[in-house]
Amino acid sequence: MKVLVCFKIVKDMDYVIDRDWEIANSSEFELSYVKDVISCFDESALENALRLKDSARLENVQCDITALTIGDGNYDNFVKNLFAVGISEVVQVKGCGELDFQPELVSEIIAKTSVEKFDLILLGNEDSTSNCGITGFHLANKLNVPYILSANEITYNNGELKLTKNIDDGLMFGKITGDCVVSFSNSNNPYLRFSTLRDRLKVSSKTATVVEFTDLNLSNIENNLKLVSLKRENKDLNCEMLVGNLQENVQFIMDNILNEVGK
Amino acid sequence: MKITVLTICNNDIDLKKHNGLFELAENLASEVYSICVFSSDKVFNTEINLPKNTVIFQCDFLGDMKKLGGAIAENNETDIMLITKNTLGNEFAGFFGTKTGASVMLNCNGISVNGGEVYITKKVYSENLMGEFQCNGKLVATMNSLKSDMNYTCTINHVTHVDTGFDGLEGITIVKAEENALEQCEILVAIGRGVKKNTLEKYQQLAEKLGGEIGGTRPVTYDGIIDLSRMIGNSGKAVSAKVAIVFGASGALPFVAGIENCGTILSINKDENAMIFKNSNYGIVGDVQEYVDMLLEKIQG
Ligand SMILES: Cc1cc2nc3c(=O)[nH]c(=O)nc-3n(C[C@H](O)[C@H](O)[C@H](O)COP(=O)(O)OP(=O)(O)OC[C@H]3O[C@@H](n4cnc5c(N)ncnc54)[C@H](O)[C@@H]3O)c2cc1C
Repeated sequence: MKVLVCFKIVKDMDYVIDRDWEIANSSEFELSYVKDVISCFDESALENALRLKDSARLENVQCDITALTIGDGNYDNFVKNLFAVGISEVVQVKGCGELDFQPELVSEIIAKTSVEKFDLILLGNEDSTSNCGITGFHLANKLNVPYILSANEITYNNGELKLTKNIDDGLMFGKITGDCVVSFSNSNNPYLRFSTLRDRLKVSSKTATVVEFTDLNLSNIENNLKLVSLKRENKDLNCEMLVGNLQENVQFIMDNILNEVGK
Repeated sequence: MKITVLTICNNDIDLKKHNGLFELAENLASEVYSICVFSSDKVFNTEINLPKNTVIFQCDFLGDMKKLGGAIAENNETDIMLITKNTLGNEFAGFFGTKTGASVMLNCNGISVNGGEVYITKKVYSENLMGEFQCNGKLVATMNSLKSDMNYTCTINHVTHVDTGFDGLEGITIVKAEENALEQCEILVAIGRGVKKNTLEKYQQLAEKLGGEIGGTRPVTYDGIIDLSRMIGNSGKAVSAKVAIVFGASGALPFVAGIENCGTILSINKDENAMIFKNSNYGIVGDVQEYVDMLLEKIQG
């Protein structure tokens, strides 16, 4: 079984300081000081791919996972870690420039790069910068395969690929019938496993395969949704800080907040 | 310019949201069409509170929205399709947009037309910034719409049934989540990573004694402290309780998106600079453990 997992490296938004959001629309908007992370739902897709591999191994089925990312950064640390946790190959597409808010172009790059046939292509439902949530639709459409959204888990069991999908009021379980694109949202396995130093040493000579954007010979894809501005919408509820001691503050909560609702 | 407004209706609130979106569209274009999709088991009265001439579809909501997207795309020559934002609405938008070659934008906050150009706004960078986009060509957008209390009368003469099915999956079974009334509760006890797993019971007790519900931030659900179905925020549930007490959450905007419609928000955090205070009516700098203990003592005593 061949599985492709697409992942994007993004800035960890939780660590961006307020002042930087405020100047977001100016040329000073600079996030290079913020640490890089794998976009959260892509991280779920990677961990779930590894769990799929673990479950297939129990039935003596080989599962090779390729991880694909697009971007010019130095991702060596991520790449080493991916090899160490069991990803067979990592591909980095370089030279594409800024791709935020261009889901169709991203899907075209993935489709062109993954010419090798994959049984499954996994990715996150949306990335944490553009929050588009559309790439999977375009990709499945281009490859002419089904698209299953909001996956929670995927495993190999009794010769079948079993998928759990989040639905509004619970979970849906089913069997995957053929090649498809699957995107992950909230998952029971959200975090990528850790690698040990020994695992890392074992793969120390492995590097990502670099693909140059220009070599993909993509036809021109027009982006009909152009970002014209970004701004911070500051909502400040003018918080009243309670400065009493523990007893006084709790009494205040009882008298002024909980009694509003008759408690 | 032609605009079609479409809602996949799970409940009566969705009808009101549809009507709100319809009114928004009428302010933008002279030709506005209305489409509503209901679950196959919905039984209709002859009249329904929807704009006159609303086209009605029914399909199985447990199928995917691909075939529905295809069926509606066949007869739809609209420039802009505005869809009420919900899970199925977003799914439909993606399939419909890729089928028709339109640009798709999910979870949008506003749309305007200026000098013939269409602009759409949407929160990006994980809720931290509002992006404005200029749109050329056809557009499909799901919208956070405002409810309208307008009374419309639509007479239902015809319903088109679409057989949805599920592309790529078979042998489907459903397991309903543990039921919770998070979205309807009056009092919310929200917990963040500042709450230790071994003290969870106290917060559950507090919620129970107050007749409220417990919910939490994403890390708290991801770490299995409370069920995933109790996640609050833009990837979880939006709560509009009269009172929300937030224990040990930093106030990241994806979380705040889920509590911003609550009436009074009181937050307790040990960090006086925590972002959560900006989005609270009352704030306490303190240790959550001490506060939960004292609140329980007062309520029980
Ligand atoms: C695409 C995307 C979607 C997301 N969707 C959601 C979502 O729907 N919901 C959501 O919640 N998050 C979501 N997140 C994650 C979000 O950005 C934050 O990471 C998350 O909300 C932080 O949770 P937290 O406040 O519990 O943890 P932290 O940020 O770690 O905050 C813990 C807080 O507890 C305080 N604290 C610690 N100990 C104590 C103590 N003893 N007493 C008092 N205070 C204490 C600390 O000062 C700190 O402020 C999303 C992120 C992305 C990228």
